[in-house]
Amino acid sequence: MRTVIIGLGGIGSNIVEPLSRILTFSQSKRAPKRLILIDGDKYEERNRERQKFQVTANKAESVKDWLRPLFSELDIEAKPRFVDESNAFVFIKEGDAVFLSVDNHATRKLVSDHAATLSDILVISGGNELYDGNVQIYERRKGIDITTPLVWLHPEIESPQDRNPAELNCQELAKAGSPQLLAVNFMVASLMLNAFCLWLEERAWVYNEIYFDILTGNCRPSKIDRK
Amino acid sequence: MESVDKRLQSKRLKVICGANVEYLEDCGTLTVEEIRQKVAGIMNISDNHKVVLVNAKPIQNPADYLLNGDEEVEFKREDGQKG
Repeated sequence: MRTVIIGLGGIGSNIVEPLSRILTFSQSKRAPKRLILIDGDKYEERNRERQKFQVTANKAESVKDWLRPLFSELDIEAKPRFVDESNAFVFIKEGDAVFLSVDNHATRKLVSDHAATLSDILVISGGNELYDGNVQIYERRKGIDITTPLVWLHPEIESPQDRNPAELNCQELAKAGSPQLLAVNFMVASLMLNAFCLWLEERAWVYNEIYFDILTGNCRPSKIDRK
Repeated sequence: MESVDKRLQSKRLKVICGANVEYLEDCGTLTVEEIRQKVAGIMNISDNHKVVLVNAKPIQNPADYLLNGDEEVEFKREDGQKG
């Protein structure tokens, strides 16, 4: 069993430290001690506004070097690559718990579609706009969907209009960033960790999606079955 | 003052978009599209909300779908793109 984080930007870089703490000290038999960090992008000084890192280098490598001395009980690996069709089967395996904190729907679809081919998998996906965001939970157990895939009722993921960062050149990647708020990234990160803690406790899902809006202060869980 | 029983009988349309929920009292018979136009401003509902659910079931033609006033309508918010 492994925990995999795909995307170490505004959300992912703020998940990794508390997640490592949870994995280290959790008594749950579901808490994997192997943590895989995946991101093909690199930190730049301008990212310090929202993203947590020590050195300007590849995001996965940088976070690994930061966390290893803090959490020696964990086996932490870095994969300095973007997830794409050629490597998804290598990076996401049976039994994984996947935190998906990317900035494009193309990767969300890729991961959701790949997860649908596995028997046992947990995907917790989070994303935000400037003031609001949401978290989706997709779990399969023994080949059965416990919750709905990320693409269900989300045509923006089913037919993404954006592109996987692996397909973008350096200039396009640099342009891809747009204004975000650290507090909103934190909110997504916190809701993703909440969901993971519920999973560690083996609780039944009372929601498979949760929305928040910091302008109204609202947070709303949602569970819609395929029936 | 109306009796509690009478007030409980009044129709109440629940409108959802993302994290936000509004209730419309006795709004009569309107189509889903008319409801969208009515609350678009206060609930930040744009044309991007392509998926519409009535009582948790997806519907196809909001302009033709008549509501009787006591349903739950959700204009499905797109996933946050950024991360």
